[in-house]
Formats: sequence, C-alpha cells, structure tokens
Amino acid sequence: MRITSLRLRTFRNHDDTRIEFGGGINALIGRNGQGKTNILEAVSYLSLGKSFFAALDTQVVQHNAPFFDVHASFVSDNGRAIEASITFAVQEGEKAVRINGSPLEKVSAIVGEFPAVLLSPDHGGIVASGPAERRKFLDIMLCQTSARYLNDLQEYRRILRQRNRVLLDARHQGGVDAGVLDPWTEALVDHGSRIIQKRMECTGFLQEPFMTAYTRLAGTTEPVGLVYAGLHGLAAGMDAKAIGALYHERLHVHRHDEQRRGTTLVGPHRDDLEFLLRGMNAQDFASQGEHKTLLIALKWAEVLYVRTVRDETPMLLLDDVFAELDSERAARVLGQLEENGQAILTATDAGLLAGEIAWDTHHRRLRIERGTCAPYTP
Amino acid sequence: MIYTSEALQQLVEEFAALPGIGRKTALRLALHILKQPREDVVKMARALVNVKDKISWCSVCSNITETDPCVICSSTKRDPRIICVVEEPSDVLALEKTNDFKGLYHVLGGALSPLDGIGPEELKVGELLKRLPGEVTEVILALNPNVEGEATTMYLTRLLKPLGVQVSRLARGLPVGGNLEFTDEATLSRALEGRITL
Repeated sequence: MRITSLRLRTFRNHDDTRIEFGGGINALIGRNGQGKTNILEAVSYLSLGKSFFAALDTQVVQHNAPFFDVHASFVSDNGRAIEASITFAVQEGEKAVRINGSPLEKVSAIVGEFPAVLLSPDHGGIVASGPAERRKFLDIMLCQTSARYLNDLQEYRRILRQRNRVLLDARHQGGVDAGVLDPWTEALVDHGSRIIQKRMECTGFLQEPFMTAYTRLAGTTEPVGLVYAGLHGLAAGMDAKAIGALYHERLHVHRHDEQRRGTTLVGPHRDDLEFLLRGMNAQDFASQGEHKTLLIALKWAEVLYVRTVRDETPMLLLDDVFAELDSERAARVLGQLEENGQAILTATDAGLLAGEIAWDTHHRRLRIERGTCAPYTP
Repeated sequence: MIYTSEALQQLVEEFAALPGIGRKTALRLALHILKQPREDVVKMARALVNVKDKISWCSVCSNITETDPCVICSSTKRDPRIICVVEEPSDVLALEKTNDFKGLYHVLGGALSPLDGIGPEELKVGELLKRLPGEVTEVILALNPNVEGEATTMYLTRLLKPLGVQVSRLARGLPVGGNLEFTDEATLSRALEGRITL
C-alpha cells in the first residue's frame, strides 16, 4: 500500500496543505515545530482511525476551527486506487470515515485497510524501558493483523480482573474456594494460551528479518535475537493445547503465592519480549545508538510481518529517526529504505540524509515550513 | 429550573430515576401523562402496582410468575426431563418465542462476576441442584456468550456432571439470515473453529 496524495484541512498547523508523494522515500525536511510530524500523524489517522500521538481528537483540530479533515489517495500493491477520508467535527465530537466515498459504519473498520508501521522517538522505550512497552508492541501488531487476537486480548483482560478479585476476596476471607476460582482459571488458560501461542509464533517470524536487518544496519556480524520470555518451560512450536497444559502447571506451582498476594502471577500479562545482543540482554547494556538500531531492525521485521500476514506492504513512517544515528548507519538505513516499499520520514536537516539516493520523483525531498509544503531545494 | 407544580416535579423525578431516562425525557413523559385521559392514567398506575403485588418468583424455576409454581413448571405438556438454565427471565421469553423448546427452565438471576460481588450464593444455584437429578436427564446451559457467562457455564458444568445428567451448551455461530461479509471477524473466527463435518 502506498499513499499518492494527501490533503489536510485545519489539522494541527496545516490550514490547507496538499502533498504529492513518490513511491519510494519521501523526506519531509524542516525545522522543529513546522508541521512535519503532523503529516505522519494524519497518515496514522487513516491507518488506525486515530492518532499515533494525541490522546484526543480535539487536540488535533486547529484552534477555533469547527472540524479537521484528512483526505488521501492510495494505491494498493496490486495497483488498485483507493480514496479515503476521515473528518472530525468538534461540535458533534464525532469522526466520520469514508472509503471511495461511502461512509464506514464504525471508525474502527478502517483499521488494517491502509497498514502502516510507525517509528517515533517515543518508541525508544520498546527496547529500553519495561516489559509492558514490549508487550504493547506485540499486541498492537497482532491486533492489526488478527481480529481474533484483539477479541481474545480484550476478554483475557476482563477474566484477569475477575480472577484477581476472587483471589483478593479469598485473601480477606482466609482461603480460596476452588469451585469459585477454577472457572476463572479455566477461562484464563483458554484465552491466555491462545495469546501466548500467537505472540510466540509472531516472535518466531520476526527473528530472521530482525537479525538480517540488524546485521545490515549495524554493519557488524554481532549476533542479535528476540526471545519471547513467558511461562517457565515454554518452547517454540508448542500448540495452544500444550501451552495450556503448561500454563495450568505453572498456576498450580504458584497457587500459594497467588493466594497470599491476591493476584494472578503467571500469564501473558507478565511476559516479556527480550532483545539479545552479543548473547546478553540488550535492555541492560546496549548503547543509545545500539538501542536505536535494534529498534529500527525490529520495525523492519514488523513491516515484513504485516506484509506477509496481510499480503500488503505497509507504509513505513519514520519520525526523527536519523537524529541519533552516525552518518554511516544513517546511510545504511536509507539504503535499506531505498530497496523497499514507500517510506515517509522527517528530518530537521537534509544533511542527516547523506547517502547516494537519487532524489527525483520516486524519492522525494519536501520542505515543510509553517504548515506548508514545497519541493526542497538545497 | 422552577416547576409550577409540585406534583409534576415529583413525577419527573420518579421517571428520571428509571434506567436509561434522563431529565429531559422524564419531563416529556410527565407532560404526556398530564395530557392523557384520567382513566388511562389510572390504568397505567394500576399496572405498575400490579407488577409488584401479583408477581413473585416461582419456587421451582425462579422465573417471575403470578402462580406458584409457574405456568411452565406446572404444565403437563412440558418435558420435565430437560432443564434449560438461563441468566434472566427475559431469556426465558426469548427462548419461548422460538416454540422449539418444550422442556423446563431454571433462571439463575445473573452470572458469576466477582467484580460485581456476584458469587454462586447470589445466584439460584442451590435451587437448581435441588431439582436434580430426579427425572431430569439433560441440562442445557444457555448463558450469554461473554466472559461471565462462559465462566458460569464452566462452574455449573463441574457441579452438574457428577450428578449423572447430560450437560450441554448452546452452539456458537453465525446469526441466521445474516451475511458472512458483514459478520464481525471474532464471531466468524469462532464459527470457523466450531465448524461441523457434513
């Protein structure tokens, strides 16, 4: 999927901006606060039905404007042209989505229609911070590609709260009634093992493209890897039934702890995705630049995953990715981008985009200044 | 807002206390009542009081009834070997509309939900156990297909199976007359899982 043109009206600092994109790298160049990231945000609206960045739609509308409107033309991998728009009316507080002119019944129906993979400075946390960020990474990717996963995840969260309440009540009453706890344990294991299986399957898929991308970007042969760290005894290739049996066993082992602490201690809500660098846990010792490279390699693998599962190449949105990379790595990232589908990236300085890209109509440089867009001239 | 009549204000407040009714709708309803002929209003008031005076719970199936046992439990045309367990009286009405079920019912009064403080004691589980096994050979669990309904189904299955009755549950599937294209993916995915060999 690639985007060919975009129009933003009263969206952030864009009064009425029209942009034509090339099929390759599209570099949005401009100083801070000129509206580069807002363009990525607009694309994210069409991809997810909401912003990657803002929590509220009202934050995105221009001050005093009654609405914002994002309208775009896309071309799918098999050459089909699709028009899409999303409009948010402040007064009604409602978003309306249209594809080829016909309104969609619910905004969420647009999710997955125009797949995109975003990398922003906010994602630095995936490698560096806690396991919750890494679970979120897997969850967002899997929810975009499997409606069943989304459903299982929502129900798992509800079951978890119910089960925790039983454990907590039991702690106050000095003992748990197995008859009351067991149905929730069954439901937890049933949903949880499907979630774990899907996450492991996905991690297994990401492994190879992640290693390949890291090796190319870093220009080293240092071994890297991804490990889904979950239930003790979990092994690749286990089916949901085997995972379920293991899950039961682990819950049994921890049953006294769970009752003492009044909460569920094992399951997908406690799992982690570990990054290995030189055979060690990268979270603990990787440098700033290595973190960034691991993250780009991970996003690269995500592109391949979405492409394989959806049979459609996602658009790659890179926000301010080049700032922390040395010129050699930046050139390798650009080289990698050049060979792949469409990418839209932001940079404060064209100098950061050194390399041997032939800037023309396929790979474009655009200058973004005070909410306007013009061809970039050095 | 100042009401020129205390009686009107009282009625508005009564309506507004009902579920799903805001103050605006309450006022509209109250003014509507005011315009109605007196006998219609009396009829309605009587209907309200009757609901409280005449309806009680069936001592056998816990459904709402005016006679005890209820008309379904005391009917000789129903098959007493099959009991269908549901959450609410409204579920009985829904199943009765099918005209396909000729057995008896048991109304639990909800589903297990620890977060809302609903455990087995809050439901009519003991009453169900008292009816078993007797002449009952099958119990159909027809609870809502959500997290709480599923957990309740699991809870009851474990309780009922040792009693030597057949325990079944409703199938999960596609709405009849619907369109595959417009079915949500999660329902479709489960229907696929529960596919039937022909």
